[in-house]
Amino acid sequence: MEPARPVRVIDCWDVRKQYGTVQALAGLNLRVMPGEIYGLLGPNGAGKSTMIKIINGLTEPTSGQVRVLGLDPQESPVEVKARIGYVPETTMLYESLSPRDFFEFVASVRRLDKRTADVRVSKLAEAFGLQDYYDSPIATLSMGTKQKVTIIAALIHDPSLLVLDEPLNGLDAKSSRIFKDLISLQAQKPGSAVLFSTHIMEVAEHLCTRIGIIYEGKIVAEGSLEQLRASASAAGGGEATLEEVFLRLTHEEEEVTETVKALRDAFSAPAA
Amino acid sequence: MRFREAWRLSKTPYSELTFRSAVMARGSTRGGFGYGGSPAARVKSIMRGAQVSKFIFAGIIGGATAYTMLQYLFDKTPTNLVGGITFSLAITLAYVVLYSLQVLPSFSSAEAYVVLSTLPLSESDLSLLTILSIVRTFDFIVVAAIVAQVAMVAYTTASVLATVAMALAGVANAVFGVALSLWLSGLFQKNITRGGRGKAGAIARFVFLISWGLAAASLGFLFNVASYAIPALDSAISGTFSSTGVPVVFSLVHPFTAGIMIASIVFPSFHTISPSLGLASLLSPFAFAVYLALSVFAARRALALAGSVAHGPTVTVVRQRAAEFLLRIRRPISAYVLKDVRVSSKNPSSAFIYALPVLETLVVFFSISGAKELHTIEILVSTFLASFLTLVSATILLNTEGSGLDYTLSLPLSARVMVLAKSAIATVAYLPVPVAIWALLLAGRSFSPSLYLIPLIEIGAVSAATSAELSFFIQRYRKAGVRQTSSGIETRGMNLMSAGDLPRLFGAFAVAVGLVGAPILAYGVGYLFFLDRFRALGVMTLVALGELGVVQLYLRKG
Repeated sequence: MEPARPVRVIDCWDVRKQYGTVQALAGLNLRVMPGEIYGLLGPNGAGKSTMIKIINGLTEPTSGQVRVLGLDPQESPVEVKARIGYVPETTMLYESLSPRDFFEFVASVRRLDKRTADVRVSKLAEAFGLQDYYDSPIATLSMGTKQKVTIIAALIHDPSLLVLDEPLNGLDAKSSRIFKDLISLQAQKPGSAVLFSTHIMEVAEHLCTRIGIIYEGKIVAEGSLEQLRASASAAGGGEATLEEVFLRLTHEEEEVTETVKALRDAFSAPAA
Repeated sequence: MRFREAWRLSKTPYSELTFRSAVMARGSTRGGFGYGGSPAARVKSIMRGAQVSKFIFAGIIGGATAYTMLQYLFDKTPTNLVGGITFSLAITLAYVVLYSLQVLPSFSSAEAYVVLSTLPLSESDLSLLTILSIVRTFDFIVVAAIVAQVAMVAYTTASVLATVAMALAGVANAVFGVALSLWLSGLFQKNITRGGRGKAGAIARFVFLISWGLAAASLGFLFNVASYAIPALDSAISGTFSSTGVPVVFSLVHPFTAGIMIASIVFPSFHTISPSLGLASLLSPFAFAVYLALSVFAARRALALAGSVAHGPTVTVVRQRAAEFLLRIRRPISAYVLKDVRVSSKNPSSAFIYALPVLETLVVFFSISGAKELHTIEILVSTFLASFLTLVSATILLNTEGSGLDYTLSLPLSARVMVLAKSAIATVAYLPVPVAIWALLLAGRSFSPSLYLIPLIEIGAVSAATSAELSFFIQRYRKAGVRQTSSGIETRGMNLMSAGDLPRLFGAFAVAVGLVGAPILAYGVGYLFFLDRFRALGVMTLVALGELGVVQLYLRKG
């Protein structure tokens, strides 16, 4: 008898998104399995944030099918959002509220019981060193501290799916390490997964179990780091780091060399 | 840096200041409920809206100034001249403050000037650019007011001295307005950045909120100022109080000082009307000189404040180590209401909502307090007027989200909960109305139960109308898909600034007005049909409850 296939946490098929004359997604296919930390890499404007917003039900795809934890985010937005923890690319919070006010709001909207919310927020606030800022208005916090508030709010309900769009922006080394460990723990929970978008190759290299490279609205390569290296090496160029693999697959390696050369010439030329 | 160059360059920080204030009020990347479209279109829309708003305010101030002087044009009495000048100055002061509170909240946070401070600019150039960006905020408005005031005085009095005095008074008045705005803007910024959960802090914030509400209400009062203040002024100058100390007090208080002084110039016999007015005429030039000196001081303070903001925030942040991390968990709708109250109370453009109960009560009071005996028609009309005002509060609440809107939309919160929460706040804003009507009924010894029940039954209609009005924006915004426009820009939901969506905006408001008006109309029709007040009340109740039921059903299905 064939073993039962695990339910895919994210299942996107031929997703397209059109912004006027600009095609942000051009038939993107994406599957994330339970236990995976899926890294979404791509140059600026490749479609990463659009895809993340579609998965969260914040933007509607022009066409294609999207299933998150077996649900359609457009058909069941509340149910999908209830099971996702989301850290957006830019920190957008209610600036006049304090972290405590904000967590109360988020925990109440997510219908958490007081005991669970208190335990989780206390542990997370202590872990991220939020004691001194807990009752200060968010407007007065640094970018990194605001990011910590967003991260705690995303973890407060123990989500089945963590969707993280550049989550390490502004975090100090200690918080960054704690968060990366939390991500690994989160992915190990049964039926859970993490979708991670980042520009930092080292983070993707060390943290992600599978990486998808998105370019011009499509996944152009997908697999574990070793698989990506192998495919890059097969395409010519020998052993490569993830950064080199990324630049090769997004056809940017030659462009980078030429641009750097042009810049060097421009800056070494005597001023007129 | 040359002034011309500085003026040109100041357009950039001014645009940033305007944009940040709009974003602070409406939301960040989405630009708030109803502000759809691509990011580029949203930025354009916000900037266009700010420019239009400035022109509208300039037009209103210019028009109001001309209007206050019209009475003097047709009836050249000292009272009308004093009244015209005084109220045109008061209206300018009030509108400059009201307008600037919409634009300047982001000023004190200094974020709009961060980039400037990193550029190789001298201290004086940096201050000059900051100050000119503030001047750009008021330019049309202040110029329109002063030009209208000077032109009207020159035309109606044909006196060079009076015109010069008016010009000086107009400039000093505008300086007071700008200085007051900058001070209030700093106060709001302090209110936002003040942390902690202590009782003292909470009381301070509550007092601040009430003060703001009362101040905003007094601005609203100026709309009707001519109808009740001019007679009071008349009695002070040529009536019952002319021989008391009242004119002397007036001569010392801005903006009456300028009015009395200019009237003394134009009417040489003004001081002979009564000894009290004689003393007032004598004192007014000295008081005017003091106010001119004060305006120079205010201008210096404002310039210093503007200059200092460019170098960093002026607020002191109080930070306390949290002793515990305990949270108060509420039902989602209660949490959303509380969030809206907390956020809106700290933003000057949305804090206006807290003035509405005061305004509504005043509307009720002025619309029926003059009646010798209260009849059903007066109660119906005042109830309708107050309900109508409540509809404004619902639209203000759409702009309370600020930069957190994106985050809220990522939470498992249905549009229905958002609508109901905002509608609940708007409905609470209506609640002082029945109390005010009951107080007036009791004071007039009117004990007919039907009169007491009318404003109470209307609560259902207010709730239904505000829910319908809000759902038009929120549900539509959340559900609207992507459509491609001829210009190739994605449009999501509705753009309040685009002419194409204005009919829908008016449509939503018309539906809401219809919903608050229907029970009132139903009472009238019911009474004509049954000739019985209690049966008419029954019809009114049925209509109000019916509206509430239909709207709730629509929200559930939506």
